[in-house]
Amino acid sequence: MNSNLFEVPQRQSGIGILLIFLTRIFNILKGFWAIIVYLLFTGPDMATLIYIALGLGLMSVLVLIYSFVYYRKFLFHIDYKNQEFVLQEGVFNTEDIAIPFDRIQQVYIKRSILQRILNVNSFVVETAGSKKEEISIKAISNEKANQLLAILIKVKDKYSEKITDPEIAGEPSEDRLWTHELGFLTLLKIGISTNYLRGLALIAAFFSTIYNEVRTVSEEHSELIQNYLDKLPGPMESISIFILIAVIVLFLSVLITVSEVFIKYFNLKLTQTKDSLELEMGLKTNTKVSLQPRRVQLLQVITNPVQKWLNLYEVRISLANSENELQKSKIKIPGLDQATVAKVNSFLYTGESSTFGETFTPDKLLLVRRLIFALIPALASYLIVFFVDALSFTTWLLLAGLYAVIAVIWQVLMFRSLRLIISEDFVYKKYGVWNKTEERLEIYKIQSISVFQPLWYEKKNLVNIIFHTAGGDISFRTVSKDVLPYINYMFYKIESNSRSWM
Amino acid sequence: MENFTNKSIDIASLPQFEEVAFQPISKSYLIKSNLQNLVFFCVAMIGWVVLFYFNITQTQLMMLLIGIVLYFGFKFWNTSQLQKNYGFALREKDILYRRGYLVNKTTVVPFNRIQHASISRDVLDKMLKISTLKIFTAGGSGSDIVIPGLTPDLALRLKEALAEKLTANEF
Repeated sequence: MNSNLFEVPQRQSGIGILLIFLTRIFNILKGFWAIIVYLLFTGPDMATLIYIALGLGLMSVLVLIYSFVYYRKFLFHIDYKNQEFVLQEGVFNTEDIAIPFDRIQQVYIKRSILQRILNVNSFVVETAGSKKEEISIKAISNEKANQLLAILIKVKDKYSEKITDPEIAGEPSEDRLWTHELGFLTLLKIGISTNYLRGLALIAAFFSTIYNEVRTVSEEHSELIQNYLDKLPGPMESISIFILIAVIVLFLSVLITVSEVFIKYFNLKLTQTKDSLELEMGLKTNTKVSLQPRRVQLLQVITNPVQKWLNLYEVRISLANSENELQKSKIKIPGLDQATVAKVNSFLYTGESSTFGETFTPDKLLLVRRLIFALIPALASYLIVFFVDALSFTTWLLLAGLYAVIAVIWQVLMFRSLRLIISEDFVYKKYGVWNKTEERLEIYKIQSISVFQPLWYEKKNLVNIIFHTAGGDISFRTVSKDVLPYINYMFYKIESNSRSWM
Repeated sequence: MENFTNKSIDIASLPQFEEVAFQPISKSYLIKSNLQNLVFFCVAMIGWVVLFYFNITQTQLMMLLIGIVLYFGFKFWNTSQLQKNYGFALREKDILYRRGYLVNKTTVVPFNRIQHASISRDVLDKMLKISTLKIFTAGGSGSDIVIPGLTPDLALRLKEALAEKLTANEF
């Protein structure tokens, strides 16, 4: 460091008081806009106007005092000894933030119109993670902002070089380049096989409305209909009409999903270059993403029996990205065959060899809990019988019974499919009744782990676990405490490894 | 790669996070939580008194009162239980934070995953002379640690210690 600028805590530019004052006043007025509009339209008398003026004056004085105190309390400096950027702020609630140089993701200067008029700048420091963690200095003079920017960029780059260097050196320079493209036929297959559940739901909805209509009509004119039905040539014709309508609805729903898939994934092209996977897709908006193994936080592979039979797998990748919100940076790549999924895996996760792989299953308590939650609506729906006359007890029993049977089967299958697998370098979670999902994350990319134990788990020695990563969480409920040694192993892995997780 | 070793690890012999002794937080935090509860209780009672002037039968009023009293009784009891369960512990390479009574939750954040740390104090904190230490990671809000009820001095020392570890740990 050539100079120790910003070593002593300092305030914003003096004119900042005005900026704080104006923004606060503006915010308050924005909050009361309805009242202001009301007053403008009603035309208040003299006395009210005086009161309002007095109130406004008092408020302005208070806000001015607040702004001054805020300005006095807002202090920032660079702590060269501890290698961090420090900020203290707050009038009533005091906030004392320190950002280590090596955690700084981005620093930049920006100006709003008001700031342009007052000739000050916003200085923003961003770290990885959620939005609220960033530092923002609202009123800093041009000169200071540029100095600070230069210093922080310098220290930030120094660190990021340090981190990336060994990474590049250690990377295997294997030139296994390949490209995977989705053809017309594959897109069609995806379209047909992904969302037919929605199609089924549509059909069900369609038929239930028709059934309801017929029922209400038939109840009103039961005799008439009986006569009419007797005159009909046969039930076959009406059934064939129903089937025809069903086919049309199914066809429409398939058409909708197919066109959706075409718009989203048209011309999907996955290319592997030396150190990244390049993804390109989309008809309307062409998406281009470069996937670097280092940035990948979570990987999901999803398939269902029909798609498995067609050799179609969907891969979802969560990236760590400081600029976007975490949720948005989830990338879906459908229609990959098994070989390509394997290739993607081997590219993203090199050196996959494991000396152990421990599988954990949830306790029966989870099934009990889920069944209770699933059956509560069935029991609660019994209340409807009291209020709706059209629903007789037997129909309720039939419907609720049907729901209960399906729910129980579904929950049992779901429960049986749940698996947590911990290997030397990875955590896997497998689940799914129809859509089988396999999630995996690298242990060294875990940010932190939470272990929950509700009181009622204690006797059975169970815990819930959540693995937090920068691309989302993986949670696993009611797992035996035998998992804890593996959690400790994960901390050992994370803490003994200096590889950067992003 | 010359000093590369790959010894097999005996998983059972690794340090166990569940065996760590936790340090409790300041008693002042109990006062703070109870003060907050008290304020809400007062608000609820005022709301109940206001209801007197509306068309509500005596039994409904009594039911409501019982509901309020039961809820706040639980709140106060739960607060005292919670206070006992707040705890944090520093290990050589990570920080542990435990909280919760009905659902006990322990979060472990390795030092080399901490993004930054901050100390915040609200008005009650200032009156009771305590601070809140916030530790942020890149794993979203579930992964962050917020330890309330630390003495300002301890919070500051913890923050400094974390800052030191953050940089020393990098390489």
